[in-house]
Amino acid sequence: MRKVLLIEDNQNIRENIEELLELSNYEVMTANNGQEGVEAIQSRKPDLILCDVHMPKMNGYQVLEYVKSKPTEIPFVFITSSSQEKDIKKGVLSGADSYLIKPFEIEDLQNTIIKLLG
Amino acid sequence: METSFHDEYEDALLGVMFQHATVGIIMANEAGIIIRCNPYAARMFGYEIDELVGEQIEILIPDNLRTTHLEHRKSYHKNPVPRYMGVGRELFAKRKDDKQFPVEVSLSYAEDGGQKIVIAVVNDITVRIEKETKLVAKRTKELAESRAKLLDAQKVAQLGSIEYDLVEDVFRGSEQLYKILELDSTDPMTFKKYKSYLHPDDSEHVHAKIAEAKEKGQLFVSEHRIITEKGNVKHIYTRTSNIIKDAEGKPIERRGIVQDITALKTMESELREKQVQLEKALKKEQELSELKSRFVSMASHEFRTPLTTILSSSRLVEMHLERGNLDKYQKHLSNIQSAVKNLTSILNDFLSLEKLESGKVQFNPEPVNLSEFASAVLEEINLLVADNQKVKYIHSGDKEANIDQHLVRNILINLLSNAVKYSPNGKDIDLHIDRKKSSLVIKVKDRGIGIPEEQHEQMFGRFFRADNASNIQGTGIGLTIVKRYLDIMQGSISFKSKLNLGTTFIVEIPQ
Repeated sequence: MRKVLLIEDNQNIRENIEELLELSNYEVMTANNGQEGVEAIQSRKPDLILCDVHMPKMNGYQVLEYVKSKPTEIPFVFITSSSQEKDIKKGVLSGADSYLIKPFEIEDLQNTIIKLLG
Repeated sequence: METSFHDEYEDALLGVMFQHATVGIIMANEAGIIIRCNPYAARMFGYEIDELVGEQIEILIPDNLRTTHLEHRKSYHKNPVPRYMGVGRELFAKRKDDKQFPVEVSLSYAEDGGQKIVIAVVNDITVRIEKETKLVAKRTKELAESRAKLLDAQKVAQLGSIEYDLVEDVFRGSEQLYKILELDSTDPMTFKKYKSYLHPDDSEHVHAKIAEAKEKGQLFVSEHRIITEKGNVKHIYTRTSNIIKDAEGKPIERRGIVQDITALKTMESELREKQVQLEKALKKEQELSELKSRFVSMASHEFRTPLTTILSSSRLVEMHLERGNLDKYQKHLSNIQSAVKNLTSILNDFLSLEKLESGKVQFNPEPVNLSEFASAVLEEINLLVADNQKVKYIHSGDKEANIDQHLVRNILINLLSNAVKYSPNGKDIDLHIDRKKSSLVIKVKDRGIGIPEEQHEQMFGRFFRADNASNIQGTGIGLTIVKRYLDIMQGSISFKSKLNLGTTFIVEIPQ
């Protein structure tokens, strides 16, 4: 079973995505801020990271920066509340493999994961 | 007396000279009788020589001048001194045909055999006078044209020229100068008088400049206002271009220009005003653009978050129902309801703001028991606080106050929910209500993240979120609404804040 790390500070959203992914047969690990997310990356070695942008302690860009600094390449997907072009550009330019704008359909999430994990 | 050959030759020569001279030579005796004249003189006056000899000299004088001439002739005989050509009055002579013509006459005096003779050499100067008259007319015309051009130029430039006689303290100015000063050109103008026209606000610096120019012997340049006798305020530019000095080097006259620059100044001032307006409009435009950008950013985040919950929860309800997991979908229904409530609250904030901005908010103060009022508010707030967090209520002063419950409740809910939201450390919050004699002072103190000092001024701006709050949900409308409510109540709001130590908001409502 592929391991997906979900980093999201909003409890409802975090729990719902976790549940949806579990129902889609993924093993889901969660972190409720960027700092916890980095700790989880180090200890749990996820196959893919789903990460919110605005979070306390460490934001999504900082988490991505950490991921990019490591030799192992882990597919990274931003889940963002901003539909503004500049934010999306910033995410992509920082090296994110994909992004999903909230609210998104579970099918779009599934397709994004399948595309990146094969 | 014997005459020598030499004398005869001399006489002959003189005779030739007399006969052929190209000036008129007339000799008259003491009685004014013409005794001789040369052919040129006869031709000049239109007579034959015979016709003139024996006649009174006055025959050659215009009728109206005869009496005067007679007197002149008599006085000349009393004191006969040579009178040279071109000296004295302009003379006119009369021809046989009565026509007058200008002449130049030189007189000399001789005695011949006891007879007193006056010799007049007469020159017809008609051609010369005509030439001179034409030249004078031409020059006069040119001068008049030049003067007209100068006056036109002065008029167009609103510029008058001035000559200031330092010795007499008198101005001599061009026509335009008087127009600028709104004075009659016959009015005597003195420096003292001009100084009395100076605008009170400009008088001091003009006097200082005058003194400086005088002391250093420099040219004087000044821009100032005057108030004319008609009460009009005019902007004047004045500059001396030349200082005239006497033989000892002492300045005796200053020459310069005085220009009416009122129109220019008005234009400058209008231009400045337009520029200010433009800058204001531009600033407003920039603010609106920034506001729009902040709104889009805020709206996007604040709406998309509950919408994500609603969409994902509704999909999970669907999936659980399909799979028969009846125990699990209930939680999602409540999540959906809570997200809808959240959206409604954001919408209400927008509506409150819109209502405020369109002036639809009413202010209805009534006597309220403050403790009961605070308890009701705290009950609502306690639903938001963390398990280890407390809101401490402190009251001082009278128990009652005259307030609009709806508005003050919204203010308190806003400030207290902010205090909870921006205290992620779960530290306690104080609510202090102090009923003073003439005001109600409410303090809400948290020990949370604080507000960066450089952003203090922007805190009450619409959709503004401090940098350290960007990862915490919020619309940036709350404090704007609070401030507007207080404006309606003629109250005030201020705050003290230290980053990472906390913030205290102080509200004052007049009683």
